[in-house]
Amino acid sequence: MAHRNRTGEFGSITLEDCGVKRVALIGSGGFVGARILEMDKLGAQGFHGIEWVPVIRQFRGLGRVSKLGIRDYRMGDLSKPESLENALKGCSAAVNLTMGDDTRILTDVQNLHRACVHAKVETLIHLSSAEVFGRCDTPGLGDDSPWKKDHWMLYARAKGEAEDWLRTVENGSGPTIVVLRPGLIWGPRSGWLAEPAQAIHDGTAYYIDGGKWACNLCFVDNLALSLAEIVQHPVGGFYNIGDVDRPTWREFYQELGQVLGRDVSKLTDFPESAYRPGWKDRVAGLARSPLAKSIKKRMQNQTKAAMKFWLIEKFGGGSMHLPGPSLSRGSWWARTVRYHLPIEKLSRNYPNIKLLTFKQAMARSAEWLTFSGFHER
Amino acid sequence: MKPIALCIVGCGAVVADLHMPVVEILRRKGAVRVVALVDNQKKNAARFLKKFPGATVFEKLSEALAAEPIGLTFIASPPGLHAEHALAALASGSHVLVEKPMVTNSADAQRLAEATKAAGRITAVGLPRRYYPHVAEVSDLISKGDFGSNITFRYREGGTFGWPVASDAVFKRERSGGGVLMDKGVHALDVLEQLFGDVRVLRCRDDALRGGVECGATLDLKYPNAQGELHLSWDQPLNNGIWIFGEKCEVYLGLDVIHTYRRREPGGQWSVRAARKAWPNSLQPNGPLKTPSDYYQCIALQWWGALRAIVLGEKPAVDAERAGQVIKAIETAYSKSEPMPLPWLTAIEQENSVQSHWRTAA
Repeated sequence: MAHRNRTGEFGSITLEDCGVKRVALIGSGGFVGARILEMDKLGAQGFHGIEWVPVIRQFRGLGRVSKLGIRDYRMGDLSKPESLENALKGCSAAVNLTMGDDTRILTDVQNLHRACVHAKVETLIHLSSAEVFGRCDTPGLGDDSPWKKDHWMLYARAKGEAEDWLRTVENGSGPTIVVLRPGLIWGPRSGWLAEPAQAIHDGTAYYIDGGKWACNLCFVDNLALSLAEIVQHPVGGFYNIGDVDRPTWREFYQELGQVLGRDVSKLTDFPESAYRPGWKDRVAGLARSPLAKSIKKRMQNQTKAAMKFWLIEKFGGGSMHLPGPSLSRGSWWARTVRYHLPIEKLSRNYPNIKLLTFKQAMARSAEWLTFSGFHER
Repeated sequence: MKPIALCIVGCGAVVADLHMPVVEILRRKGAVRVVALVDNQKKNAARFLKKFPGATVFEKLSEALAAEPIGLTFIASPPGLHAEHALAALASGSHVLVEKPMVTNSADAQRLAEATKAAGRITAVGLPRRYYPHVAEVSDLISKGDFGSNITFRYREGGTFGWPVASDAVFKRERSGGGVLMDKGVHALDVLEQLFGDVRVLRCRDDALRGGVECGATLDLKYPNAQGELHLSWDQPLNNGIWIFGEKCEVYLGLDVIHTYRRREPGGQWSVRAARKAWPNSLQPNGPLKTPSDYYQCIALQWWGALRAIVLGEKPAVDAERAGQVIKAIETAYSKSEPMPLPWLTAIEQENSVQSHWRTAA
């Protein structure tokens, strides 16, 4: 078991004296945060010398880590600056893993930065997204290339705006700023494994253009190990982060097919032109608009539940047919990404990060898929 | 008929999201009148006063029971308080509808069953999956012998914990009695009881470390004519659903779509079947029946079921005795629990998860 040095065990000696960094893990109830806490608790290599402080916005954030018996978590909400003071107290670094509300991504980052300055946090690591580059339409997009300002996803635009704002303060007197842009964060327990596996079984899986486009993957443990290294030896800047190997979608599905014992060579193959945004996307866009979100937020749970109840009573029912492949804008978009993002800047500035290969990551994922029953139907 | 005087104990997320829309319908139909709302945080209860202006808000159940006669007490307080609240309600002469888990240990389950009998009242338990049409229909098929002998099953239910809980009590063993097994497990074991009868827990494995409650658990279960595995998770998706295999056919029941299921004969193709099982949704003795297509509708039928038990003397779908069997099975599972294999972790993580398992370490 890994042993963390805690102040209490050494009397008046501080964590810093012992070479231990206390790091606020904001959004620790999410997929990545929960994995980091699990790796730490179970003594994974690469985590020595860090005391992770879980910070959650709501109690339900403890659900994913309830097995770990964590009692010393802190409450903190990026939209409520006053709550961050205690969350960051005594921490030398803060890692922002929150997904948050798309309409609040920029202000949340601003709040966090201010709180870091106030709490004298030395390093702020912010998780942005490779989605800011959209489908990476041009080769050689660098870590400091401009992001896609006309992106259709509010989430991507908001992440981009947050990056822009962080660039304006990165050379100020505040914390060292590290921004990471992962692609599709995958691995055991992730939707990027479970959903394709389910689709392969259900007969709803498909390729676009034969699955020839780039699958920009970032294995969750690779991200966790990178974060641990960055916390220990921060070099400020904006970085793309992802796996070393660069599979296509077809290669990703072929590996999955092997694990599941299913032939994926003859999946339905849509041409890229098979999908064009239509009225459904406009409706979905409206539902995601700040106005709609604000109405939804103000609505009492009770009212929302009553509406849902009414809709089911009115329009309940369901299909009597087995489902077939159908395109949605999000999955079509992700499957037509043109190029893999370069990650050389990260490996240059952090030469000690040891990333798992695609084969190694897939071997671990295969164990999980089997354990979770995805090999059976 | 005079509306039944209803007292609601615990006015948190479960009540707001799942029950209040139904209670509002029951009130409009003249089946109930909400007279008391109890919550130790008064503001939680007070938010419902607009909908139920005739109700009074109380901090303690004892105050509500003393204030006026209560016909039905609905208990949705934290699970650790269910026994205390249900016993108090029965003692005052009220019938009880209690959210799952009915209680957190088998001793309390027995006390509650005995108290119900002694009081000559109804204790109905909130397990709305009893109204899943596909489960009820497949249960009938099993009884009729459609599957043949040697029935095996796999039941998987996994997903990220999402309830907007108001405190961390649900993640503390001393307050909640356990983790996913005490949450989703109660539903799953009740469904399996409906399908196969009385359970024997052969083996339990879970992933809780010292001081924690399990996010994941697997149980090997034996029933009079079936055996299989139950796999639950709070922290990850699983290949969800119920698969039942027999010599003559196999079926797949989804956990989201509840009014259809898939069936195939040996070597055949899957086909989708409609489940048409229906239950009364009024207090009329021979009134109309309804086939629910969603969880919300099952909640409504559960309420009608409890009210019909009180008014018409019908048997509730799940009574205290029946629910007590599930609690006993969970207690047995915890007493046998071993570390759950987590083969996708690194070797050192796997070793440490075994060493730090809550039962090993304790």
